[in-house]
Amino acid sequence: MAEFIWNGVGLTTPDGWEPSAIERDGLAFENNDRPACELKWNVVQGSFSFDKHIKRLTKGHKNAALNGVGEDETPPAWTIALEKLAQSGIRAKSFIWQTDVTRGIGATLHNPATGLAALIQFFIHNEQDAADAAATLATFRDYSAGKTIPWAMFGLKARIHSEFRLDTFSFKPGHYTIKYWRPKAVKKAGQLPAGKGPGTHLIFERYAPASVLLKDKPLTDWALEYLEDAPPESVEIIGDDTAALWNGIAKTSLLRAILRRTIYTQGRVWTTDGGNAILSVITHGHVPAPEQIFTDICESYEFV
Amino acid sequence: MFKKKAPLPTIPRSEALNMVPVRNLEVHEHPIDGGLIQLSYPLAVKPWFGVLAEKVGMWDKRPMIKTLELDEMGTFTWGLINGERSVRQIADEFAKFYEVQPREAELSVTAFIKTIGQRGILGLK
Repeated sequence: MAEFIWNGVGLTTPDGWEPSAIERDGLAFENNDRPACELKWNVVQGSFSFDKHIKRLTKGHKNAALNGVGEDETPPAWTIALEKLAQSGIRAKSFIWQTDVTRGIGATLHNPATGLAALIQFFIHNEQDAADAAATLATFRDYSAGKTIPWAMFGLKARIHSEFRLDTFSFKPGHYTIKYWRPKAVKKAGQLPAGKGPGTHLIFERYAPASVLLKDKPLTDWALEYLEDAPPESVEIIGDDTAALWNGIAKTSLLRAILRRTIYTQGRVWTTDGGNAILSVITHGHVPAPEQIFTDICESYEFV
Repeated sequence: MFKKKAPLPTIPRSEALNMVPVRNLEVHEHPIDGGLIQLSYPLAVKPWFGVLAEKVGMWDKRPMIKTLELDEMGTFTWGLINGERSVRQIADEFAKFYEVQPREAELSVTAFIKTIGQRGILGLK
């Protein structure tokens, strides 16, 4: 079983499932080269109509013979999974669909406490798929209400303050990057696109394999040369072969000081005991991250 | 001239991973500093280029030899190519040795095999 938590939503998948698509508000998984599950979500204001969404799905997928179904028409394991979700405050309405080549089962989910609305569907190729679908549905979690929000992806996990919003991310062989953004005016968080205006970037990175990357140079030299948001020369890096950190002002001038546009930077980079990787957490922007919050974030960033 | 090119045949991922890379017998490896290796391989000359190069006296029909230096991970992967291990087995060994994610190893190994395969250094069976 592998746990995936992404942008406030979590799912634990059976062994062998792999993410085939990762979006800001969506995940898709495949198993043995076939699609296994798709999940999309959004936060909606006000009331949520299941019937309206099922009707919209039916209209948009006329070739798939999609129908909303009651709990008495779904497999027993699926019904039990929905009951588990109901206990955690998530309401649901199921649907089934069938095409010439495959069939599927899914549900529209809504958490009235947070406004999270999600659409999840599973592709059913055999009986095991049906059992996996129910087991996976039962693990659906809404983490968006907490003061801190976790994320877990590709064997890494961390926990961040809820004011940070997911900005950009990439998972390339050898280099993973996940960037978050916290606007200076937290109240305007919903109005501005992530990364725009004054605020603070929070960047998680993972480089591997460390044994190859650090073969010819110490960690501090490597960090200065290769980290995407390495500190400028004016900021001193303190560290040794296993960990390094810095904290200082990256850009300042009289004009920047008057306009309150001084850029602060803070970062930690370290090699892991297991996993042969280099992890780094960097914040930079107009607001310096409080030391304790930054330390908590760094300590939460680790291998699952 | 403007005829649409036929799309290249594609095979499913699992089938591609089960293929076995085989070294070109014409390729020679030479150890270099740091435990790395350098490959020398005959350059596949396109027929039209060969005719042209011969006519202008640039080529005497002897095979042109090119060299390619592999980095540490390339050397490790090259060492695993023995005509018996499949791409999947090589990726598994790579993931185990470098402690990276299986999918990450798969992408790295397939990219390496594709790159050196395009140079005619190996084939797939």
